[in-house]
Amino acid sequence: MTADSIGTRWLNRSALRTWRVPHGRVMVVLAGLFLLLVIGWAAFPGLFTGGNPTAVNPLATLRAPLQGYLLGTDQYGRSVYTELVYGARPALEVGLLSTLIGGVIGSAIGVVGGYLGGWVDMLVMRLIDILLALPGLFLALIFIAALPPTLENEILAIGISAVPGFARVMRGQALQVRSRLFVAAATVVGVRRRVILWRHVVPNCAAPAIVLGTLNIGTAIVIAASLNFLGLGPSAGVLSWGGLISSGQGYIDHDWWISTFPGLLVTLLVIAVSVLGDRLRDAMEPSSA
Amino acid sequence: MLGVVVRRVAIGVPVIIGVSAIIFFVLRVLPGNPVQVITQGAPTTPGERHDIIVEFGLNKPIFSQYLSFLGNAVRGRFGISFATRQPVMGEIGSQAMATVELAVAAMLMTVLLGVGLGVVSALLRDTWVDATIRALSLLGSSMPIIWTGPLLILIFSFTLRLFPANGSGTLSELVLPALSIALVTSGVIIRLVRSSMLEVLGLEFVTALRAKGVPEAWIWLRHILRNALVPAVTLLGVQLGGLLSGAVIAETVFGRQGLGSLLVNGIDEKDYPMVQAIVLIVATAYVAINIVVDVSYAYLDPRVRTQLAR
Repeated sequence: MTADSIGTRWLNRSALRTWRVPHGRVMVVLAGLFLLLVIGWAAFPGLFTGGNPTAVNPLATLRAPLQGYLLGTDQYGRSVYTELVYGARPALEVGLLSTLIGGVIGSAIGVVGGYLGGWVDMLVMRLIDILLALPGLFLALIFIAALPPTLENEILAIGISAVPGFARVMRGQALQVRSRLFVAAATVVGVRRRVILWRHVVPNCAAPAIVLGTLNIGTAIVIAASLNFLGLGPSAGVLSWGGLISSGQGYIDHDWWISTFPGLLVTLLVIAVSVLGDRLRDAMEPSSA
Repeated sequence: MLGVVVRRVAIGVPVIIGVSAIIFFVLRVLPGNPVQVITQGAPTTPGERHDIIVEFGLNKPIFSQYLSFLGNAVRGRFGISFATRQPVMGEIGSQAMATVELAVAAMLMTVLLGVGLGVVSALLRDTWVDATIRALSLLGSSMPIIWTGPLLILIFSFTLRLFPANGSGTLSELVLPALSIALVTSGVIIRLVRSSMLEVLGLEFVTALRAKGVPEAWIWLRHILRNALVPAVTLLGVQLGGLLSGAVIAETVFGRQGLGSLLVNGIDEKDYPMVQAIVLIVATAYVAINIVVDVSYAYLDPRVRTQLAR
C-alpha cells in the first residue's frame, strides 16, 4: 500500500474528499424493496392504483406530473403511473419465463456436454459458437421474424437468445465438477453415469446457474422493452413499458414525462436485479468473490 | 502469427455456415406462408400463386433451396425482396455505410469513454471522482438505449440545441446515436481498465521502475496503461455484440437510415430474404472483427500468442 500512495502523490489527492457509493447491505435492502414493489404491482395492480390503464380521457391529455396525476398523463389522457403499474405483469412474465426457458435449455445442453465430453461436447461447443456468432438481439430477432407476434412467442424468442450464454457457463462448470474427486470415486464404485449426472453434477452446477438466471432477468426485461419499442412485440392488448417509451418519444420536447418514467423504471429494475445477483453470487460462490 | 490467423479463420468459416443454416431454417420451417407475404394478402388465382412459387424458387426441396441460398450468399447475392420485388442487396448496399459509420463512431466513443474514464478512475481511486465515475458506469450500462436515446434528444437537442434529434448523413447527426450506444458499452470497459490498472500498479516491476527513478507520469503512461489495456482489447470484441444490437435500436430511435432500420422493417413486413441477408451479413462481420480482435490480442500479449498457436 505504500507504493500505492507514492503512485499518486503528484496528483494532490488530499484535495479530493474520500466518498464511497453506499454499497453492501443498504443497496441490497433497497434493491429488494424495490423489486418487491414491482412484484406487488404485477400481482395486485388494483391495490396500487384505482385507475384503469386503458381509460382514455380527452379532457386530461398531456398533464404534467403532480397535476392531478402522480406521473402525469399521456397523449390520450391515460395516467402514466397506472400504465406503469399494469405494465409490470407482462414485463416480469417475460423476464422470468424467458429466463426459465433459456436457463433450462442452455444449462441442460451445457451440463450434458461438459459432463459427457467426447463428441457430445464437440457438438455442444460448435452449437454454442454458432449461436454466439449472433449477438443477443439478432438471435431473438430471427425468431421474432418467424413467429406470429404474441406475448408467448416474444417470451420464447428472448428465452432462446439466452441459451448460448447459459450453455457456455454451465459447460465450463460441469467440466470443473467432472474433474473433482467425488465424481471419480462414484464412477469407480460403479454408479451409473445418469445417476452421477443427476445426483452429483447437476446439484454442484446449480449455484452459478441461479446467479446467471437472476442477472438474466434484467437483460430479458430490457430486450423485451426494446422489442416493444421497435414495434416488434405482441401486436395487441399487451401494455408494455417499451411501447410507452416509444409513444412518448414523439412528445419528448414538451411532455418529457411519458418516456422518462418508464425508462427510469426499467433502469432501476435492471440495477436492482444486478445488485441482488451480485449479492447472490457472493453468498453462493464464496470462491469467486 | 500467421498460424493464429489461419486457425481462427478455419474455426470462423464453419461457424458462419452454421449461422446461415439457423437463419434459413428458422425462417422457412416455422409457420407462415411466403406467397401470402409476397402478395401482401391480396386475392390470387392458383396460376398466379404457382408463378410466384416458381419465381422465388419455393417449389424446390427445402434443402436444395438452402444450398442455393448459401451458394448465392457467398457470391453476395441474397435474392429478391418479398416486399419490393427488387434484389435485396441493392438496398442493403445503399444503406450499409450509414450503419458502418454509426458502429465505428460508437466504437471510438466506447474506447474514449472507457479508457479515459477508467484511467481517471484508477488515478483518483477512492475519491469522490472515482466513486462518481463508477456509479455512472453502472448507471450507463443499466440504461436501455430506448431510454438513453430519447433522454439525449431531450437534453442535447431540445434543451441545449447542440445536436439534431434525428437524420443521418452529417457528422453532428452521428454524435447522439453513437453516444447512446457508447454509454451502454463503455461501462464494463471503464471498470475493467480501472481494475487492471490497479492490478498492474501492485506488480513488482513498477516498484523496480520507481527505484530506478523513472518519472511517475512516464511509469503510468508507458508501463501501467500499456499493460492494463491488453485485457480491455478482448472485451472490445465482446462489447461489439452489444454495439451491433444497440445500432439496430439507435437507428430506430434517431430515425436514421441503415441496416438496423432495414432489418426492423423487414421483420415487420415478413420480408425474409431481407432479414436473412442482414442477419447473415452482421453475423459475418461480427465473427470477422472478433478474429481481428483475437489476432491483435495475440500481437499485444506474447503469452497469448504461444497459447493460441498451440
